[in-house]
Amino acid sequence: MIKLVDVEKYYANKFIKTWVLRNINLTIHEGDFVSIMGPSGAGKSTLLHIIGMLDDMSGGEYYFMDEPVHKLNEKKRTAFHQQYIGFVFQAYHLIDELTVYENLETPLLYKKVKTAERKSMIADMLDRFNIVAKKDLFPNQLSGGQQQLVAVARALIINPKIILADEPTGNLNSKQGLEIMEMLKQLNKEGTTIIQVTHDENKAAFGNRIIHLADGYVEKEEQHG
Amino acid sequence: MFMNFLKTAIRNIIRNRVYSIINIAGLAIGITCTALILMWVNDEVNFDSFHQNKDRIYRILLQRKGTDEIMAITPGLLADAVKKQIPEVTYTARIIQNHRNPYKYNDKAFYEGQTFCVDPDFFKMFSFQFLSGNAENPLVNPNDLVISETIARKYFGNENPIGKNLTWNNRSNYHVCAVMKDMPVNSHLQMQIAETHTLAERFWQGGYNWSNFVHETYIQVKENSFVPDIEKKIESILNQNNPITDRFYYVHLQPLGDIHLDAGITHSTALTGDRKYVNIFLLIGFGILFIACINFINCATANSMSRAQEVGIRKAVGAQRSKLIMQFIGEFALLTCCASLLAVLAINLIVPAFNHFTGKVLSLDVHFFTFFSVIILFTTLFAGSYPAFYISAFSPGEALKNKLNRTNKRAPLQSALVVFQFAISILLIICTLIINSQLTFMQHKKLGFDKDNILYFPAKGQLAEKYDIVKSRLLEYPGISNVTMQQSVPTTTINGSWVSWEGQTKQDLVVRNTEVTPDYFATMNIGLAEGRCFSEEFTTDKESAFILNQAAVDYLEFENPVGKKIRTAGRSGEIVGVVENSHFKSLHHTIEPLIFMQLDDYKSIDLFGVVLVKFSGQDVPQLLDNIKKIWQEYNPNLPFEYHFLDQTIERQYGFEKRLSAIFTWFSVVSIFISCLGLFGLATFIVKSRTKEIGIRKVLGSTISRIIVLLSQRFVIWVLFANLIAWPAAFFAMHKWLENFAYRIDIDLWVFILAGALALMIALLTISWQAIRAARANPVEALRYE
Repeated sequence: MIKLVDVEKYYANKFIKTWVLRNINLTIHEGDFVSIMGPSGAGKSTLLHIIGMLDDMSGGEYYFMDEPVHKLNEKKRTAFHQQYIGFVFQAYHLIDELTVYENLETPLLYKKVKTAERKSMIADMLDRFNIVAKKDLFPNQLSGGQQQLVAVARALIINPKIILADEPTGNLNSKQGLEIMEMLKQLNKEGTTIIQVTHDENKAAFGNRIIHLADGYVEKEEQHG
Repeated sequence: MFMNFLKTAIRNIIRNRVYSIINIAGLAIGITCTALILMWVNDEVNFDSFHQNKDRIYRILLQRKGTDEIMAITPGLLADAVKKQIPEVTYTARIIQNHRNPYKYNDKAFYEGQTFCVDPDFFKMFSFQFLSGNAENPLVNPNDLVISETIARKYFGNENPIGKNLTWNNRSNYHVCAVMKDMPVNSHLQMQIAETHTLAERFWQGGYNWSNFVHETYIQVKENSFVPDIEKKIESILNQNNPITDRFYYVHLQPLGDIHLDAGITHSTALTGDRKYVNIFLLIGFGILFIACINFINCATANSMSRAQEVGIRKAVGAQRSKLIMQFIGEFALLTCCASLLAVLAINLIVPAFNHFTGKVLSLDVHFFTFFSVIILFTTLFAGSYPAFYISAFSPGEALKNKLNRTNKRAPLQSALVVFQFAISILLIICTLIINSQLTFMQHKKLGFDKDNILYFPAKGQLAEKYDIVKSRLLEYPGISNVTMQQSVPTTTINGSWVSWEGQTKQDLVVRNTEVTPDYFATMNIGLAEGRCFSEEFTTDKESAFILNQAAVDYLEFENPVGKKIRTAGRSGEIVGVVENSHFKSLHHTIEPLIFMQLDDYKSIDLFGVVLVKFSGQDVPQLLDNIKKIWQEYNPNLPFEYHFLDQTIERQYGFEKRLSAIFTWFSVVSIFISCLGLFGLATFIVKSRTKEIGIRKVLGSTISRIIVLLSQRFVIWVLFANLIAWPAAFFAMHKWLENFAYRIDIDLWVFILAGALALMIALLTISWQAIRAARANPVEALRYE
């Protein structure tokens, strides 16, 4: 499903190139639950953003569902976002000015889903996550756990093939964190591919593959069950 | 989708209250100013557009060969010849303005200045509307009058004016044949009363020949006529009948639409504006809108960091960049619409005062709203597109990682825009200061005569004829020290004649002349340079004595003028004295050569002569009462009208006064809007440097050093702005001052003052934010980050 060949990323200053990622070769199959681990500054988030097409890479090749992403224009990538990719972030990243309902609605609007269909999709999602009562609240009226729940719901509403989660439990207490992880596990069982970035070994263990990054290189990879 | 955008937009506007208020207020003020100016400009450039034949009507102008002096007057017989001899011309009409004189109906009598002699074709060419009377064929009889509705109401009240008699100057009887609607305010012709040329021609044959240039002539040509051809033909008609014109004049045809804005045409009675000022105001209008847009751009870019995350999220959930651009432009459109609403309210409130100030009748009509929509559209696109493109270009990855550099990002565009903003403001301040100093200079310059405590009233009828008795009776009143009589108001000498003298070396010299009674120079306090004044002791003075001003002596290049024999204005005789120069005309003009002659025939000045009275300044109402009594004794049938000479002179600078007021307002507005923007920018900059300030304070920086640190950038901006504004202002004001023959020097202090003023205001504006940030508890700043 995802294939990275010699992917590299650097930030060029006037005099120095700061390398963030080097020689990344990686294949992720449909149904995988991949955890990316590594110390601060290892390039985990950058790798996730490149996979999610939020960041450009400086070199290498990237195939997403056999399409060469490194050759695609912005329009096509946006189409991928609309069709296949859901994001969950450490800082939840809900739009502060929109209510829970409107936050869930936003991806569907960009996807041009018809009103009636949109309404039922949002209703389903609110139901499934048990947040019907909160649909008219703004993000700052919710606890961190609840916000992340909404963020996951928003990621799922387009029925993505893959969920990219950047330290999804980083800002949550352990109980809330565990709930979110259970939910991701469940989604994975139902067939959604999941890639998460974490530096918590326990959370990483939810995945079937763990990729260790250090200084921009893939240090090692572990396979589970 | 739209609702989603709208909600985000409204909630954002409310959340960033300060930012929104600054933007909306600044824009509203900018739009208000620009809209008002555009309304004014639109009116100016559309003068006379209500005439149906407007594209085919021209005024004949004569340009003096070898100069750029162009005058609007032509010989009185030209119009008829042009109509008869040039087939392309369908109508011709001469107009000539009458001197200010009284009209009377029963016991109602008033002086009227806007009265003209016109030809019958006049009302066929121009589309002035009639209310009653003979609208088809007005002015067929010699005594016919066309009056405006204002005049009709003034003299006849509710009576039907048609067929009624109006007595002019206690002499001629006219009867009203038609009432026309008041001429629109956007007409270069402003007539209250129109009469035929027939009577004037009977009284004053001299005005209706080929050598006297007194009439303005309008022609209407057939469609698709070739104007240069007609000009050639008119030129040849002129030369056939008056060979001297060939030596002196080119003929130009001035399109009707150009008459109002062609400034500098001499001897024109048209209500003229000035194309130059229309352009200047247009520039200022857009300058102010530009300043407001800059606020918008700067605040929006500075504030963009707070929207970066949203952009990142929206991109991550599948937003295309075009959608984001649309969203942000839409948001700015919403702000612009709020501002526009405010602006419409403001304009509605201001328009009456604005009309009063400009003498126009502007209103919020269809034209206005068309213009207005264009302004809004322009503003939204101009101010909104850069921030929209800028914000929507954020890389989502970086935006979401909060990696967008907040503090160190140099924003060259932002700096450039603020510099530009302040440059405009400083430029306007400098212009205001210089215009004001020139105005003060003109109001206080020594004129060479006493303008204060002199009043004048018309020398009419019996009062003029029995002037000698009137004078001695006036002098009996305690407040009156001197009395004199002049052929016309001192500020407008009406006659000019060829001058010849013994041993003449220069040809074709025309010098203006005026007739005065002997005590004129004492009354006006004009100093004698050589020789003597006119005197009752020399009986020959009445026919053959001349007094020249020094300008005339220089112009004629006389070495020892006193005693020299000259001939001019139908008299010949000897120069008896030379007086010092006086500024009778406004200081736009150099002092004209002028020849004084003694007033001989008191009756001859009935139409335009004045009696000048020098008074002590005490108990003026009593004084006026006394003069009025004498007036009524001699002229019981004529109304009494008087003027103060200093006010007449002050009126010459009415335009400059208004200009100064306009510039003062514009500078205040532009500085205010710039400061709004600066305040907003300071808020953002301080916010983005909170952490830095915290760290500096922890490391031991004093409050004052932090204030200096925060203010530095602004000081540099304003200093840069001076670099741009100074040369521009110098150039512009140097050009403007060339309009005046007598003018101030441009001093450096004006520039320094303007720069200092701008700097001070800028520092005051940002100081609140800077001091607040500097005094904040550093721990909180660091925790906040």
